[in-house]
Amino acid sequence: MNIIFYIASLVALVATVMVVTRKNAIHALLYLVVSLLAVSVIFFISGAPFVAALEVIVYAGAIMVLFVFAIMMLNLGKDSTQKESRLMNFGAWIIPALLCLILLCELIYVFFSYDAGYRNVRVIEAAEVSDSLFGGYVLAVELTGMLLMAGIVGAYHIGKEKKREYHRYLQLNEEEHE
Amino acid sequence: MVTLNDLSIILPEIILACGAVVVMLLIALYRNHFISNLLTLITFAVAMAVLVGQSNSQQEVTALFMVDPLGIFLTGLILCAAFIITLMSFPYFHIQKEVKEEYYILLILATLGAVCMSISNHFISFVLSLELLSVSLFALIGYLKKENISVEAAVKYLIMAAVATSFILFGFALIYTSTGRMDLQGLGENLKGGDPDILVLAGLALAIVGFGFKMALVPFHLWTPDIYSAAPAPVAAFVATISKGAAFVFLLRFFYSIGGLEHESIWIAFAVIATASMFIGNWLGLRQQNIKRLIAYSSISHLGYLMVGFLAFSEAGIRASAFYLVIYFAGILAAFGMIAYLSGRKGEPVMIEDYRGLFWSKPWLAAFFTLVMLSLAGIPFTAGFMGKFYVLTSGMGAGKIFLLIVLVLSSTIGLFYYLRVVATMLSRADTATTIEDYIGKQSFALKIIVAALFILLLWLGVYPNTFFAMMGM
Repeated sequence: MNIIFYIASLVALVATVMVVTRKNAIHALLYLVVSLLAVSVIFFISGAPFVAALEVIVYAGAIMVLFVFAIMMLNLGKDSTQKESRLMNFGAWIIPALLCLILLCELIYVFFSYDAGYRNVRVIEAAEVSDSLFGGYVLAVELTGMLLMAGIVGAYHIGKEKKREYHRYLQLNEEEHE
Repeated sequence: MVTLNDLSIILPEIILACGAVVVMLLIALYRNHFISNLLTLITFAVAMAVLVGQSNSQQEVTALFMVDPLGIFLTGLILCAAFIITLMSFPYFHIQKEVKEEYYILLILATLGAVCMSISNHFISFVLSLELLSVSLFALIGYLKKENISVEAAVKYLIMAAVATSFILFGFALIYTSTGRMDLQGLGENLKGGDPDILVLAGLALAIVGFGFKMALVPFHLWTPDIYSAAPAPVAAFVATISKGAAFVFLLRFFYSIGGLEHESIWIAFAVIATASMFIGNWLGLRQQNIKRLIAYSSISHLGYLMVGFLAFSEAGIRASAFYLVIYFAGILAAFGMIAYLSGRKGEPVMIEDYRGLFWSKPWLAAFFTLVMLSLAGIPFTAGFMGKFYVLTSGMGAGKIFLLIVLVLSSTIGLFYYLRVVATMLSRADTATTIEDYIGKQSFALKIIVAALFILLLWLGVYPNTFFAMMGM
C-alpha cells in the first residue's frame, strides 16, 4: 500500500505547486481540486473512508462552487463567452485530467486488491461523527464558528472598496491630500 | 456532553462571543464609532465582572477546556489588557479616515481566541483558538489598509503565522500518532516517567518551533520588529502582550502536564532558546533608532526572561512567570500607550529623535515615559525590577545558575538602550522637536490610562505585597 500513498502524495504535491504558480485563477482552482482529491485518496487508503468522502464533498464540492462563482463574477464582460471557450483549451485541462486519471487508477487498484488485512478497518458512520461533534466537541464547533466570523469580517474589511461619489475635481483634490 | 454548569464556568468566553455578534449586528443597523467602542468596553467589563465572581478552583469543561487558577488569572489579565487597548483605540482610530467599527469585532474575537487559548486543555481547542487569534490579527495589523506598510506587515504576519501553525499541527500529529491522545491529561499519563520515543520528541521539537514563532523567541523572532513598527500602535500592543501571553500559558500548561522539562534534551533546547532570546533581543535593540522596533527587541528579551521562570519547572516558577506577565503587560501597554498618546494626524512619533527634548516641553509625559523605560529595563523601585527579582528567585530555587547569570548580563546590555531613550528626552538641543497636534491632548481616556499605568508600575515596584494578596499568591 505504501507505493499508492507515495503516488497520491506526489500528485498532491505537484497539483499544489501548480496552484501556486498558475497566473490564471480558474486554472489554479482546477489544480486545487486535483490536490484535494489526492488528499482524499490518501485518507481513503489510510482507513478513513468517511473523512475521504467529506474531503470530496466539502472541499472539492465547495471549491467547484467557487469555481463557478469565479467564472460568473470575473468575466462579466460582453466577450465572456469567448473568454470561457479560451479558458478551457487543451493545455489547461490535460494535466489536471491526467493527474485525476492517476488517482482514479489508484482507487480502482485499491478496490481490486482489497485483501483480508484491511478488513478490520472500522467504518465510522455519519451519526457517530455528528455525535461527537455535537456532544463532547460542541465547543470546538462553536469556536470554529467564531473563527469563520473573524475570517469573514477581516476579508470584508480588507476587500472593501471605498465608494467615491465626489465630483471629479474634488476627487483629484482628495487624492492629492492623501 | 456540555451541561449548564459547564456553560456557567466558561461564561466569560460566552459573553465575549456574544459581544462580538452584538457589535457586528449593531454595525448592520447603525454605524457609530463611539457606540461600537462603548459596547466593546462593556463586553470586556461584563466578562471581567463574571470572572471575578467565579470560584477559584480547578474545573474541567468537556475534554477541551480546563478552568484552573492559572487560566482564570490569565483570562483576567487578558481582559484587562484588552479593555485598556480598546480605550486606547478610540482616540487613535477616531482621527483615521478608515471605517472604524469592524476593528472592534476583530478585537473582541482576537481576545476571545487568546482567552480560550489560555484555558485550553486539548490540542483541538488550542489550534482553533490559535487560528481565531491569528486570523483576527491579520486583519487588525493591516487594518489601516491605505498604508502600504501595514498591508505588507499583515501579509508577512499571515505567512509567518501559517508556517507556525503548520509546524504546530505537524508536531501535534506526530505526538498523536505515537500516543493516541490529544488531551493534556491523557498525554501526561502516557508520557510521564518513561523516555519519550523518537516520534514524540520530533513532535515536541516541531511544536517548540511553532510556539517560538508565536512568542517571538530567538531564532524565530525575525517577524517581530517589522510587524510592530508597521501595525497601528494599539494593535502592536495587542500582538506584544495578549497574543504572546496566551501562547506562553499554553506552553507552560502543555510542558508542565506532560513533564517534558524533566527530559534533558527538551530542557536544553528551551534553555538555548531562552539564552539566545535574552542576549540577541537586547543586542539588536542597541542600535535601533525606531522606538517601535526598540520595543519589539525589548519584548523579545522579556520573553527570554519569562522563559527562565518557565524553565524553573516548579510552582514558584509558575507564580513568578504569572507575576512577570502582569508587569510585562503593564510595561508594554504603557510604552505603546505613550506612542498612541503622542500620535496625531501626521502619524505616530516612531523615531527616538522625535522625542528629543520632550522633558522640557511636556515634563509629565516625559517622566511617565522615563518610568516605563526604567521599568522595562528593570531598575529598582519600578515594577520591572520586582518581576525580574521573582523570576531570579524562582530560578535560584531550582538551581539554574547559568540562566540567572545570562539574565543579569543581558539586562545590563539592555539598560543601555532604554537609558538612551531617556537621555534623548532629557537633552536640551536646538533641534528639539515639539509634537503639538497629538491625540492625547483632547482624550480623557488616554490620560486615565497613562495615569493608571503610572500608578500600577510604581505600586508593583514599591509594594507588590498587596497585589499578591489580591491575587491569592
